Amino acid sequence: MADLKGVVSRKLSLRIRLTIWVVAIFALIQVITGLGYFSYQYRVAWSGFDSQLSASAQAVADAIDGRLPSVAAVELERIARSELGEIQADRFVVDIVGQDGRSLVADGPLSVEAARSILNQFQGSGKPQRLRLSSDAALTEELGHRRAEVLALPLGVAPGQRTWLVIATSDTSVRREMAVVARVLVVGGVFGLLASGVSGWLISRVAVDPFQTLSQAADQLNPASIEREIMVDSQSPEVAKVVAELEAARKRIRSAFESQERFLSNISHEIKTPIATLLLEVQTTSRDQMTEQGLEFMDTVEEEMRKLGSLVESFLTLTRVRNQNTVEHAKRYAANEIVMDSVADCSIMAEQYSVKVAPELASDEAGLDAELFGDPDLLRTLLNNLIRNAIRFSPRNETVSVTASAGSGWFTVKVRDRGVGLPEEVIDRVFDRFAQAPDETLRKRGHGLGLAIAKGIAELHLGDLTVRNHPEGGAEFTAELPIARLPS
Amino acid sequence: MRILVIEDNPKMAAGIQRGLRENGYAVDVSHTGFEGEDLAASGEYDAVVLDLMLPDRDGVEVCRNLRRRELASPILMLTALSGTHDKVSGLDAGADDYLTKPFEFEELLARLRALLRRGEATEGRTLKCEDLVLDLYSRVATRSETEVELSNKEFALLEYLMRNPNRVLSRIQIGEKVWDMNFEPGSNVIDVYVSSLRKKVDRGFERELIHTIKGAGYRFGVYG
Repeated sequence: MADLKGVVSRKLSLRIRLTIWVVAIFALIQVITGLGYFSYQYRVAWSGFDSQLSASAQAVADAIDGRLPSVAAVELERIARSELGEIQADRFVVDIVGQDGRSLVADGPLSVEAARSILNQFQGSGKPQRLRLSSDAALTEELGHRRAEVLALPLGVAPGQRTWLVIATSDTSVRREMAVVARVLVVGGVFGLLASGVSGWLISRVAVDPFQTLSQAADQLNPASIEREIMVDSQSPEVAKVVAELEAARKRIRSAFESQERFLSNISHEIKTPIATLLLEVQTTSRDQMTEQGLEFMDTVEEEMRKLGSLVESFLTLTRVRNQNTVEHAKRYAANEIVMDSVADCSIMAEQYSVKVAPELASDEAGLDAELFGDPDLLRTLLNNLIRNAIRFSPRNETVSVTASAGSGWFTVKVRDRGVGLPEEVIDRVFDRFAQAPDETLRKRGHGLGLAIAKGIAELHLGDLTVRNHPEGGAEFTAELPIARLPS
Repeated sequence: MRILVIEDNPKMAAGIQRGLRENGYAVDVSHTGFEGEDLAASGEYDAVVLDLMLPDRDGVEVCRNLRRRELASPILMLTALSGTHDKVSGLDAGADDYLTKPFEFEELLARLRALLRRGEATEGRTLKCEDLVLDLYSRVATRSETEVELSNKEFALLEYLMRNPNRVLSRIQIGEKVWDMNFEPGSNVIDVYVSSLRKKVDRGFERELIHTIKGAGYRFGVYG
């Protein structure tokens, strides 16, 4: 039992465990009531049998009264058969014996030993008794069973000697009756067990349902849906209470999220303002009177500040993108326009690198209509990062092509540089954070977050970003974004 | 050109002031939101550079108040917060553009130039040709009294076309004026934008207003 309990509690679901317990308890109850019913039926059957036997024996005694002692065995058996018919004893032995066991009937079926044994065992109460007939093999054979219901009725026939009418019958009819009772109990028990299994399974739902409701409720407790109230329909007050507690937890988590966001926002302000001030200072200070060394210093400061600024910005963007599951502040925005906004954003950098950026917009009907649904700033950042990356890796006076197209529900932007392309060993890792070209000559002043951010933004908008080396040279990044469906 | 800079950080303010002065602008600086708002509302400035985070009040609020006081000059918002939400609320409050700190000073100059150009242009308030009306102040285009939804650059392109009616405008001119960029000769950017604009403004109307002049460019006007 302990073993079973261990196995049951470890492996099986709560619902199955509950059902097993219901069935087990029901089976126990069935066994107890079944046994009780069986023994009651057994007693009823025997007492009926016995009173029938007494009545029949009396009737036989009355019938032969006066005809003794000259009764033939055949005659006695005929009378007994007609009287005993009602108890359906298929086998019986009837005889009239004296106290010494000798039969008074011609060809009486009982041997002297058998008769004596019966009379010895029989205490003369006048009521039928169940006796063991092991002493007489012939009698046992005759009755088909070692036990028999025996009645010895005193008859006052021969003077000076007590005589007995002995009837021994097999208990077949009782056994047949009990077999029926047992069959009914077994069949009923099997059906009962099945019924208890089914009802246990159904009832256990009541116990298990709250867990499903609660798991639904707990499922709603995730960063994506932290803004929404936890909604489940529960009928029971216990479940409602737990749901209310989950809802309170959600509010606490949301406020924690909010304070985290506020913190990020504040810290970004704190860090960015000094960077901005310093950068501005350097960019607007007059350099007319400066020495060579001074100019170099100014350039270094400017470059480092710019890097630091964009690193902080990128880090904040990456954090934001990674912590979001859905796009916040989403709106519809003309797809071609996002491409052009990005190209415009990168035009100053392109000038600095002496690289041309050549945009090619989606010009077919689908392209003209194409709108993206998302955060336009993030989508711009996605393309900005690709274009800036391409500019960085392009030789001077080369062209970065930005080609947009629309088709079968997707807006595709390909950004291709004319650099040396990506080494095969890094092509799978370019979207990892801080992944950079291994070779010093390929490493170009990036901070290694740009492509990770771009990938994150593409995925956030249910799109994808891939890269390959163009057969005619240079790396080609392909951003695919789902076109917003027209409101129908 | 007179520009007001509302920025609490004295070094930042001084830097912007110095840089703008070197580029020929007259610059006044205010370090607080209240003083800045009053100065700006006087209407003496061609543009306002407004920091989003001020010690005494929120820049968004200043911006909203200025618009309520019917200041027409462009407002360029500076923000150290990169969340889209802040930008959106700034633009909703009536700012014309925003720049995230840290920024390139060159970019500040470029944006200011663009805003000032638009500011000059806004004086007329509306441009009209036939049943096509462009409201430069509310930035809404209507044709036959039905509002036409235009993206920012489509609007800028249409404005440029409408300001130069019946003149052949080359792709180079359009690129320079509308995008501030020189596109490669093979670039389809301008054609795509013109197609898109045509689709929204001309398609379905009896009289077409945007005409293609083969080998030369485009012309806007009633007569084909």
